[in-house]
Amino acid sequence: MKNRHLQMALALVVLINILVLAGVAYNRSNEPEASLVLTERELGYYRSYRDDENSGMSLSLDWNRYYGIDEWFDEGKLATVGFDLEHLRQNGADWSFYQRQLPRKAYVALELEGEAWSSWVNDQDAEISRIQKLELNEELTAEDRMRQISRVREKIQSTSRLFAMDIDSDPERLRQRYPDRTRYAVVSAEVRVGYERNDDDLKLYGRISQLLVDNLHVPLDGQTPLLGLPAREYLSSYDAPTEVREWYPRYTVTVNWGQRYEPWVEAIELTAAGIEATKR
Amino acid sequence: MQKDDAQKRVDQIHAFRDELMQLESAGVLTLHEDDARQVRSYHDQLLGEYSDQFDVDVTGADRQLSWGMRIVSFLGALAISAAIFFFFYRFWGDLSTPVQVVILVLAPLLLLLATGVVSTREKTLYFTSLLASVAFASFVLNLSLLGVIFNITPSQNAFLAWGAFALLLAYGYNLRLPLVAGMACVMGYLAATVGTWSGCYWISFGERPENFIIAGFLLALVPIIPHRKYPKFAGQYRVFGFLAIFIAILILANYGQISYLSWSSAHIEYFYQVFGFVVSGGIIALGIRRHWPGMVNLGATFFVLFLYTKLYDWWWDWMPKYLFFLLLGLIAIGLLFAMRRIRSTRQEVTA
Repeated sequence: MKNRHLQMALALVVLINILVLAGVAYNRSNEPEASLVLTERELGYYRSYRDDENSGMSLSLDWNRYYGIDEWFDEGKLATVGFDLEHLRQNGADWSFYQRQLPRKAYVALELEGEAWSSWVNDQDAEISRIQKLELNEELTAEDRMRQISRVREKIQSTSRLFAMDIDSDPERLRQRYPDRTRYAVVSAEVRVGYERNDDDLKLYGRISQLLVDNLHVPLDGQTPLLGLPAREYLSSYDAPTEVREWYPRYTVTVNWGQRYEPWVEAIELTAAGIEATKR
Repeated sequence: MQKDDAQKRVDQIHAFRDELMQLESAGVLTLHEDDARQVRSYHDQLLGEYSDQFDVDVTGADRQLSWGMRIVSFLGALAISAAIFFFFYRFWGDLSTPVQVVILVLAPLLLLLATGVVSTREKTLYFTSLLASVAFASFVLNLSLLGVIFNITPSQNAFLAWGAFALLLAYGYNLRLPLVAGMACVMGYLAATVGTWSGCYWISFGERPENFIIAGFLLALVPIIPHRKYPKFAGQYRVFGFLAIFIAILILANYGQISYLSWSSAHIEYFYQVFGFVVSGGIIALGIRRHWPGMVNLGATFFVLFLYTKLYDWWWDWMPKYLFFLLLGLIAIGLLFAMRRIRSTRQEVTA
């Protein structure tokens, strides 16, 4: 190879890596943009990530992607993130037009254990009341009642407490609306157009199809608490026991988001339930 | 003189010897013994020099062996690249972050240096090609895993970096495999960037095949920049660029829903079907005119593909299957006659 090409290739590798690592350093500079203490509810550790061929460890970020979103992700918000509403409405007759609309990048405010979470829990409690009434009216046996209630209770204990609350194309504008950095994380996401058609009425709304970073790498010094944990068993619809089974998160994870709204795992600690699980 | 020029000269010498033997058998021409000896001696000397200096294929057996070595070099590069990927994935979780970063950065640098050293010790460049391909794979691993380790938001700029790296290897050593890898990465970057012009998020660039039509066209224009030292590269840019264009057109001709155009799906499909015939026919004509055999073959292949998919649309549901395939075969024979006629007309014109 000519020396010139070799030198250029070497310089390219060094330069690109410097740029990447400088970006990482900038993201982690100053105070974190957000710092949330999450649990196993929000960051699942799936054993398949640590199989024989891949020794790396990642936690999968879980959040409630549907509850309440259609109430606030309306046409106004679609316009805010850059969708052309006039263009969208002109093809109302062709349903496939909406299915093939391309996504956009936006920033989402995720709320941890706030009003949306309380509202969701209230809905689940109402569901439990509804099930209990069914037994009173003899529409359900006692055994079936317990089974259904145990499923709902486990859902309340295990479901992620992260809910999407708002969206914007400008993350700083979003942060101004949600200044609590220990309760709200501003994260990047991919958003798409959804639609509903009732007779002549066309309703457009937004959907958050995915968070752009939803798998968090766990560095070596953070892996120790998770290594001794057995695989988590989850109830399926068919084998739910009649007694309510208590489900407690086994670890907490402190996650920071930086200047580029990219996250990293700061610390992992076992809860009492986690310590108990490692002893079994 | 480059290796390709030397190989052409060797092929000329062999062709001359074969033709001279034919002329002697036919009684048309017999060289005087002294002249024949002088010419033979001169050609033997040239063949020896070219073999020593450029390691060209002097005999038919050499040529077959060279093809075998190229295939083995390619498969070896694939296997070693896969081994590096899986080796790193198996052990990286047991390493601290600084150690991971050092290994990821050093791997492509060391493999580049090894490529440079090996290239000075061999003329054939088979091992150089293998090492260059593995160096490229390690650079892909480098940036991919840094993204995973630090939870970096995905960006299309990685394609540009990988493409630039592969093209530096290709042009530095006159290697085709890194050229193909470089073209693929650059096309990915161009298609993703074109996609963002409409405001969409780059990752969905594959949902609009027109992104690849524009990217392929830009790639096909690269040979406008003279490639005197790399005569085979120009053809590869053209073929690769138009291959992307044709595949995009083929998809849109059958699935118009994913087009940027705001017409009905049926109209979009008709438009791209006609467009496909026009472009493939134009490429065949251009390839014949400019003596670009790769382009002629590409255009002919996709012309037939467009034709067959159209015939499938028209006939498959109602025609007996034996009759359908019989008609396809007859059409292929008809095309052969037409192309033979074009060839003989061109030969008459040349004569």
